[in-house]
Amino acid sequence: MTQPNEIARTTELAHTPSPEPRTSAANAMTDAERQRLRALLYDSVLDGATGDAETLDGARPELRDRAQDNEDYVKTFRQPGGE
Amino acid sequence: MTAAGIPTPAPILVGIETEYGIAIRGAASFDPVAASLLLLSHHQPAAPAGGSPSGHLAADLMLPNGARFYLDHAHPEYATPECRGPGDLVAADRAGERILDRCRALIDLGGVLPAGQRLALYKNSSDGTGNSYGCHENYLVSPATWAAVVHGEPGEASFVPFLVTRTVLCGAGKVGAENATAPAGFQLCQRADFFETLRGVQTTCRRPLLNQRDEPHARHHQRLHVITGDANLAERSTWLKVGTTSLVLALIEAGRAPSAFRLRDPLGAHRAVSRDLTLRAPLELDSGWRATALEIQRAFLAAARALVDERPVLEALRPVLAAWDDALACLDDDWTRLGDRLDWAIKRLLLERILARHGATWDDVKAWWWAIDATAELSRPAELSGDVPEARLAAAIGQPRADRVCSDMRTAGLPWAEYWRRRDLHFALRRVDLDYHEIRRTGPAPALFTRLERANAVERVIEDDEITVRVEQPPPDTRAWVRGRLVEMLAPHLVSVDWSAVVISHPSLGDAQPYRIELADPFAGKSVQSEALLSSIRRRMTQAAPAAGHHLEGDHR
Repeated sequence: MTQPNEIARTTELAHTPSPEPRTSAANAMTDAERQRLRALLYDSVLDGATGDAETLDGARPELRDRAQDNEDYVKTFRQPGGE
Repeated sequence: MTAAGIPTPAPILVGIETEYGIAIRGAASFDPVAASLLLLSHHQPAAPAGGSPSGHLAADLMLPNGARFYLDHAHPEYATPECRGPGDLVAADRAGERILDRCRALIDLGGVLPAGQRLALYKNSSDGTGNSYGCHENYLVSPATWAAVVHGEPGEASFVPFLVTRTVLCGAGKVGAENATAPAGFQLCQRADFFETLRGVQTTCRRPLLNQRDEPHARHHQRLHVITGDANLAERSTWLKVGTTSLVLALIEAGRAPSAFRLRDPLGAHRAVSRDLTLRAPLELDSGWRATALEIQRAFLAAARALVDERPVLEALRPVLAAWDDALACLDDDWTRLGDRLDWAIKRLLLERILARHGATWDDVKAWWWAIDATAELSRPAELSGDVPEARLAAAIGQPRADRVCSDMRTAGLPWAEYWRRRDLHFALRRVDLDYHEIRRTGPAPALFTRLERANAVERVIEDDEITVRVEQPPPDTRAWVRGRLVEMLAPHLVSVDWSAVVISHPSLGDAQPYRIELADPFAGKSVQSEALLSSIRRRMTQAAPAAGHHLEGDHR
């Protein structure tokens, strides 16, 4: 799991400087540091998501339930065509 | 001016209409039409029947912010008001998310659904099982440009190569393939699997790259209906989608669009670009030459830059050039640099975290896709260790299908011992793919994209305040302003409201009713003239009924 202080640091997570318009200030982080922080943030988001793929270890019953939940969730999302 | 003497719309007026995916989570089954109507019925303030073009309460609402919120087929659809430029469009599009989510939250708060059930809305473009729904862009262009694109040479030689390759900028990304197309692990675009012909008026089947729908909703202009795009959540994806397309239409209007990239197989190229995770695959051109998607985009960017340099009227779109250039440079260098700003890249980074945890690749996902799809009815046992899936397969899907699957898996070298591990990964990826598009902002568990946004992990191109304003107010510089004000002011007296006309009935109108107010000029927004019209209507409504034949002054054009 991502540590809270690391998650807090991601509030400083710099975007790669990109052209206007943008509302977030870019900073001088290196690409490597930026990508590392982004990976931490993404892991923290995934750990909090029901889509966590750690179900694959098969060792924790609640995670196995989550795998079934993932299947049910995806399979029940059948939509009519549109447009 | 165009050849026909019609003022060239620049920046081009644009609107976007999005059909949302809808589900009742926790219910064994649900009716999408009933769910969509439930959502619409929770719009506040409730619109009167007269505010609906069809006259049906809560099925079709024209809103005071100039937008239309309605049931289309079996999806809730939000069509933004007419906007000048990509920035306003992004704000209007995101205002739609807020309005739909507010209706959803009211359903939650009201305890409308049985305990354990909740309504969920997804801003995506396919359900992963072969059903697609649209996110259509509408660009106001001259009749000459419209004809050139939908019927003429520039459509095939210029606009199609641009549309096919803009996927690298504005695809929403998805896991897998649909509609009996070639297998894929991850695609940049949700919609490429669903396009089957080059031109046509239809949108629900045999979808065309160039849609020929001829419904201008305006005098002297035409509406170009672009149906190839994905629904986007990332603001920069929407902003680039609309900004670059506006510039390319300006190029076509000026007769300056690159025409050397006519694709030998446009439909195949569309799917190829979507599946090309290297961003380096060459596309076959009609000329016998080859070019990559990035090279084609570069050519359009260079032409657009030259045009903007020459034409001050396009100056408002200059920031698009810089962002377009930046995005192509990042894609050429390292796509992960766009992992905070373009939908497919944000989603791909997230999903590749899952792949990395399991030492899997997109090729693994692709290799197992069909096998898992063919055996999805096989139930998960309480205990995975010791399960022999192939032994239970015939009971689940029938002996002939089971025999075929087992044979095909042997041929493909897919071992049954890995089956559950691969199947769990398959559905975990698809779950996150779906979760990415849910728009829930409130409640104990905001949706995935909302959390990313609040953690400052995705870039914004507009301020929240701009979205808040567009939830309530129409853009002041298009006819949406007048339409929205009329809807707000005359709600109980509306007979019908369309994009280009408002029809009212009121005792003060006497024999003049129903009275039709034309909004034929899409550029006619807030002005001395329109404010005078609104004031005169307001005055009239507060006066006694006039003598027969007395008309409201003015036909707003």
